[in-house]
Amino acid sequence: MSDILMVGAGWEPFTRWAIWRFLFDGLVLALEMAAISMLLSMLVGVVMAVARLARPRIIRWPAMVYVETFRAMPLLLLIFFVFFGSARTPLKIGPVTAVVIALTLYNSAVVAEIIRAGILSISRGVIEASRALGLSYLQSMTYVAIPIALRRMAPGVVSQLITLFKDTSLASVLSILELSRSARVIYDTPTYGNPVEVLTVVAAMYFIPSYALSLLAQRLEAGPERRAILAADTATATIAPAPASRPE
Amino acid sequence: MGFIGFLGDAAEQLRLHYPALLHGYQVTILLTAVSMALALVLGAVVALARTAEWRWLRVASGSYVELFRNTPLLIQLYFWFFALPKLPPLDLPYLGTFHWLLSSEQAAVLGLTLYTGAYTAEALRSGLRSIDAGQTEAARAVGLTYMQTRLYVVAPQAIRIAVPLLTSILSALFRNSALVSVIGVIDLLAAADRIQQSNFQTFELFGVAGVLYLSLTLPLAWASGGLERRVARAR
Repeated sequence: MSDILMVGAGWEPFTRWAIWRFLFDGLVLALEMAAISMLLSMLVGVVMAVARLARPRIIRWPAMVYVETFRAMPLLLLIFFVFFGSARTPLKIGPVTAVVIALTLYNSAVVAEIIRAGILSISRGVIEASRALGLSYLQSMTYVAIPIALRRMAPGVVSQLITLFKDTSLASVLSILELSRSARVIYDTPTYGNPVEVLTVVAAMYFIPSYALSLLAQRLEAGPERRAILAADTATATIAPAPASRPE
Repeated sequence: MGFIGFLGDAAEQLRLHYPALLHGYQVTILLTAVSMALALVLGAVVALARTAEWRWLRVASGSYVELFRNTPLLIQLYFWFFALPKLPPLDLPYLGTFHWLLSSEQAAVLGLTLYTGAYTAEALRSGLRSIDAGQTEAARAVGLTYMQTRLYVVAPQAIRIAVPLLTSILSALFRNSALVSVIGVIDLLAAADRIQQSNFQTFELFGVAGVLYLSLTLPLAWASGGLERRVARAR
């Protein structure tokens, strides 16, 4: 290998504010795309989850086809499909919009399954117990069932948000200047040529928000509320003996 | 009518370009199979390390898992393909100078294996953790060594519990393997993309590619659900 390839700007560009500014702009765009897609995915996901739990087949089956298809597709294929596909139709979709649509198609299918599992996990006993205590159906739903379901979905939704944030890096294939593309722009600059340093910095910029979210997901998974709910749920689902008082 | 016509066009594209598309399909399957096999071995080692008695092993393996799970696969692939060759060559005694230059395929297998290995490690670890500690104590009491206990008593049960999760990881690997096109491997997605760039049959070709991907991922998704129910019943 010739020595030319070995020569790079090293860490020197990171002493300049403009480089950091450029990368932070990319990070902000990545976070924005993830946030918008997650909001849209929650909306579509709720509709799909409720539709999959509905009794009429005409509602249930299309929702099932949507969820099973988009969950099983490579995201990059969906991005290509939406972006290059729309270029062949009269409606021209910009690259950022195309990526947000593709991210939403995939993530709404995953989120729909998380929501469905959350709804299904509420045992009938909990609702019956709250009805027996004198709550109306609507009250037992809004004050008992939905809060339990939401808390159960929370870890799954947060870990999906990590996946979604990492997946925004695929937007770089459409030359969108998000974090990954910005990295490439820097190290492809002939006078820099420092992919080791740039990719290390950018990996850290992805790692910090993702790892923070994964700690949050862990905390939600094992939080005291969740343990209490699980204990309450099994107590109502089965005829359990009175819980022994534990020394705390 | 429009949909039937679309199916006809898609079938026509498949008839015209099946050698390239099937070659891409094979590359996707081969890449996934090799990476999954390696990721299972890696994951098993890492899972044992994460639950080991020695603290430094747990810290090292835990750092690997967190680092590779919390950074995008795309960045990892870029690193193995673009950054690795920039590292100074390694002078090994007897073996000569070692350059860090990988072909697209090697970088793809390395990237997919290391990324997926972090997930298989977590799946196997959750299996290991679900085995009651009493079993380890009983095995040790009967006179098995630490390694014997882990390999012959705990590991076989842990793997059985982890199978549904591993199945969905395999399905995710099939989907993730589409990313290798960004470092120049001509897999199924890249094959379809190349053809559509020349003849603009975008929907037809990506439609065909999508169905081919579904032929790999859908059976795994269903198997994963079925296996999950079986494991849940067996416990």
